[in-house]
Amino acid sequence: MLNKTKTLEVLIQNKKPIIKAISYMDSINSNYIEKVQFESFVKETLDITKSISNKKQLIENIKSAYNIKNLISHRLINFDEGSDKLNFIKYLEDMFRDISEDIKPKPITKRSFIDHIHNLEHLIKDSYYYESYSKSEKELFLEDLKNKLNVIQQDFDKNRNIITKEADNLSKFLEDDVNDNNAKREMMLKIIELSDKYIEPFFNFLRERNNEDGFINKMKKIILFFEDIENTKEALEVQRFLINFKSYHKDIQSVYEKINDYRRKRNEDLSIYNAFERAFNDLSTISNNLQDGKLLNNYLESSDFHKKFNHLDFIKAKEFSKSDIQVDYEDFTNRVRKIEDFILLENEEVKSEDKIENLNKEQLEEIKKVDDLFLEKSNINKENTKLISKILLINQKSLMKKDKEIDLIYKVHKILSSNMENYKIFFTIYAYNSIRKKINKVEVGYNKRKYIEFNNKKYSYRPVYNLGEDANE
Amino acid sequence: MNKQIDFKKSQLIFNQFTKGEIINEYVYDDKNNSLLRNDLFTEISENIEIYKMQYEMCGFQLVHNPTFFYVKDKNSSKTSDKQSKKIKIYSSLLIIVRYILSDKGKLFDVLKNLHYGITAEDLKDIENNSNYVHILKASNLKNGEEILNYLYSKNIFLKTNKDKYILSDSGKEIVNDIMEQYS
Repeated sequence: MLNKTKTLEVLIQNKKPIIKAISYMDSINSNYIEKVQFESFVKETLDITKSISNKKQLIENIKSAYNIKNLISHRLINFDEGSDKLNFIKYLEDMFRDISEDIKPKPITKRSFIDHIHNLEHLIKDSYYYESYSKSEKELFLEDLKNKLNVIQQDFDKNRNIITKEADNLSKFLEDDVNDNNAKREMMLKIIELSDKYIEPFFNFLRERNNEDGFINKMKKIILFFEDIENTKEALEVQRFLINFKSYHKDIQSVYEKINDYRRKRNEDLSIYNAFERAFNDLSTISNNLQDGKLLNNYLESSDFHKKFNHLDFIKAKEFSKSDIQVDYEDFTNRVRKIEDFILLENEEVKSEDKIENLNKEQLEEIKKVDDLFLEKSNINKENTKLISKILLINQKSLMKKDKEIDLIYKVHKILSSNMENYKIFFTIYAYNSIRKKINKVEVGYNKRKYIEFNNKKYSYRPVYNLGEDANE
Repeated sequence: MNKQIDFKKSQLIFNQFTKGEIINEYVYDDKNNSLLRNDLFTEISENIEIYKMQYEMCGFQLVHNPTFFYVKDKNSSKTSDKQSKKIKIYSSLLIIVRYILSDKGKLFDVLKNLHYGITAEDLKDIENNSNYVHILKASNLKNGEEILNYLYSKNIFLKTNKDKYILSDSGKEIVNDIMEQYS
């Protein structure tokens, strides 16, 4: 067991366990730390000390000073035996917060200042009976009043210093170009917390100082009391405090405005940052899903992404409108997607081995290039689509006929290729889509493949048979 | 009608609208490196009914937001729900803002303060970033430079005399719109 002076000396010279304990309590927002946790911090310090020094006396001193019984006996900690937790008495914690770079002093909450006002109220009421008190009661009352005024003054000073210092440190960090903006963003969270928890309530408290029940009126009553009992020294002291009080307001207002400016700017930044993270994740998921097997229609247009947003609906496009031409490529590809997983497969020129490779994405992109060309030649397309419609109309009876033998795609191909000079295999897909909408029942040969040969190229496809109820028997 | 239509301005307005451009309340003033109220915006605002009628007669709809105007293709809205331009603008802006804030770690102020701004260099390599590749593909976009040029061509971004880009009024409104949906 060490005496109190020696204990404090050892604690200050070997402050790590206390600093870590306070830091730990801050991190878990608790006013207490488990005894085991605290002792582990002490052990860490002991281990480090042992590793760098052989001074047995020093090690023994640390052990003794940090011994829980020693700390309790010198009233340096409050220990709750039931929960096996402890905290440090206020002045010790304040002192260590003050001397450490690692933990920051906590500003005083608005509640404490409201308590101060309530205490002052009680003291003022009691002061009305001052003359009736006995000598010792008078002495005790004055002692209480002076102590209370002293605590209030100290709290104001402390809060002003902490808030000003903290705000200065934060703003230096934020204005420093060297620091990373992501770190600044985190720091901004601290500023908002500091502002919300301490600065704004304190500033509001100060703003209400002139109210009837406000702080200044209370203090004026105290001055009158001291004047009444002819204690001019104390009256002047309180008067001086009141004059200084104006500077508290000025200082805190300046910090408040500075922090609020940061808060406005950075709060906006944080809100935008968070919203855009969410929006981006959403867009990323939508884009990923579009790539998932939907080879033809994998653009955002086929999603509902745009429906969330309010502006620029149907904004006029610079390019000619797709509605200006007969073939709407997007509508077209959308319908292609729906044709019972039908895929038209394009191959290289037919070789003697008759080797057929499955269509891959690149080949589909090739088809899309053809589509793009198709779009550019809109006038030709108009004529083509008119001609296709005309041919389909003429052959409607044959195409709409129920037929389990000859599949629709082959039929369409035969009809178009024999009636169009500039026939391209792509026209068959277009025509098929157009016909398919009118047929209410089909059979799809999912496991079958059929082939069309055209211009020395071989195309494979899944056959689709017309089993429509309305088809001619 | 508050005043006579300025035919020269109305032609400029027509040219911009039919190119799918947006007319913002403020434009960038090169000489003074500041924002200047847009004459064309004022012209429309002061003759709003006449301009509404003009575009209505052509099959369009003049859309008025507090800080910008654009023209809506009424025919498109009847025939199809495909909104490729709207989608391209929104996805482009979303990509840029997210890339600048998150990947580049810059503050939003960079995108709206005319003393800062961004360049194509800031978006370099976005097309090689695995987080963006599939989105660029789904949005039919190639790279950062193309995105920036596209948004500039629609007046979503303004270009400063230091060749930096900042958000225009409509750009900020779209950012707000995205924020509202995801806050």
